Amino acid sequence: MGSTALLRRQHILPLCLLLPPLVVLAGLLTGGGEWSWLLNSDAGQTVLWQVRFPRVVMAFLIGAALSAGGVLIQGVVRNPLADPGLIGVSGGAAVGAAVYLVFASSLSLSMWGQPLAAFIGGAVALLVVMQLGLRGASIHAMSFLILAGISVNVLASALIGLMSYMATDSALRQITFWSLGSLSGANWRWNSALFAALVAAIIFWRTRLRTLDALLLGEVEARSMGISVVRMQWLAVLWVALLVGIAVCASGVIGFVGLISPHVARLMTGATHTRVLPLAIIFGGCLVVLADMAARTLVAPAELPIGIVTTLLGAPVFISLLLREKRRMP
Amino acid sequence: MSASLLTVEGLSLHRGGAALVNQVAFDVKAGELIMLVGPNGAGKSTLLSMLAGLQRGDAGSVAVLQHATHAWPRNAWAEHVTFVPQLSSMNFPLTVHDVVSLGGLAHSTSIVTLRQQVKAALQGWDIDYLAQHDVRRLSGGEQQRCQLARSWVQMQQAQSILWLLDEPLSALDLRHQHQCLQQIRAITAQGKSVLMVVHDLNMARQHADRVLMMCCGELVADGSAEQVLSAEQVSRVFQVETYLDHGWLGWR
Repeated sequence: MGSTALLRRQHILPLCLLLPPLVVLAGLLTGGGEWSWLLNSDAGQTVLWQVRFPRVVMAFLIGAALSAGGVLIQGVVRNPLADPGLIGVSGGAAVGAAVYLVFASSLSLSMWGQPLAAFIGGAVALLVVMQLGLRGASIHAMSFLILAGISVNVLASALIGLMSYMATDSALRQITFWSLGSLSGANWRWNSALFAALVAAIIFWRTRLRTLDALLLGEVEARSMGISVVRMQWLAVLWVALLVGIAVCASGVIGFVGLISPHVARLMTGATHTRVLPLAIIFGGCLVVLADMAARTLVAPAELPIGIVTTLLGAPVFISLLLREKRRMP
Repeated sequence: MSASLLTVEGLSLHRGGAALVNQVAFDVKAGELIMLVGPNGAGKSTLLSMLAGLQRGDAGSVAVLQHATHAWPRNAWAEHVTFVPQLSSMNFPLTVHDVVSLGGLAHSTSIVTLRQQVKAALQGWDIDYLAQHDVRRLSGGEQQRCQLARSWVQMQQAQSILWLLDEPLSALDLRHQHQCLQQIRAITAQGKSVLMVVHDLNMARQHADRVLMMCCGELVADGSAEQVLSAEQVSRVFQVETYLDHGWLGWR
């Protein structure tokens, strides 16, 4: 493969481990205020550590969680186009969170009520999409999955529209925030939840990554290698809904991250999951930190919704992937 | 008389009123190379996937080493039976080496042993020069050898006793067909058995220890190549007028 001529595969991951600290540092130092003010004044220190630091960390964790979700779902449906946002998981999670906000928040079920609702919404959306769009590896099966995702997304946005008519003013602000995506609500509570879910997912899947490789060969092939494909699909649904559900509660729908970073990781190291998952997590984290820098600075002092930035980056990647699939068609 | 590795009794599968596989019964002895022949749609592939435990029949039974298999989980099947379906397409850039290494997934093999077996598989199937290539960019025959090499690794484990191959030779050139048969013979020499679907009846006449002939879901003949592949029987089942000339089947 051409991409490995310059850089041997086993050196890619260690080199990429250098990326997150650099990107996080850049994220901390970008934005309003001179560096001397940030570093030397009390107000600057407050902005740096109380406002910007949790936000940059959240950006990284959101990107990492969405990318991990993307890698898992792409593996079990054998479709590199399956982005959690595109196939409706994020939309479903946003519906769950909005329903909770409008109908159940008065019950104050504890801080986990909302992520739980988002998890259920995401899982239901994913199950519907997989029922509709899962058979074989042909181009038809691939496009069917995307069509299924579009229909689930349309339904989700209609339901969110319905919720917004029933919502109080403060709930309405929350709902708008979810549908566009924003990191302005960053806090350590969400950061620790995201971090815990991500670490748990990595530990759980670490020993199952070769099973995902086998699934890429095809369902019959995987089963004849001793893999219970249905069980793997259920596990993936649960973990993807968990990762995406928490991410959506924390920051709303940020599209295409789960498509771009696994794609770049595969271009660099091939499709083996033991290499793709860590790389995609790193790239996804860095991507969202950089996208958030752009969202904060491009129209300063105002702020762009970050979902717009990631979509501007991701849609061309999606189109190029589609073009490539089109060329592969007989 | 050697022991039965596989015993099939009254195996049937119906779909929408039609029998895809109807009352099939036979057994496989240790070290046999069995070739399964029959017209398109005879139920050969369906039978193979049932013998691999991928589809459950609605009547009859499959026993492996005299063990009933109806409650076997997937991994128990994969430990004993290695199945290679017809070639399917892939959407992801795995390398040949990645794919062949997955042959170790069904068993708990040590990393060192697996590495040796993968190396032997790459050489034995003449794909070592392709090891770092993207599988999707290979020709049909190269992809076929890659899948066969992966299953060969699975067959190397001691518990693996039966190799089910669905048209393994269809994409291979003469040299690699020869090589494939040599690899199969090396497996049967270990007392393991191979059941493969072929369309070349002269291939079956020359190389099979035993031939099974299917037609319309039923097992119509089971015996030595000479018995099963007689000109009359082939003419009747395939509905092409055939004749036998110096041990070779021809048609007009």
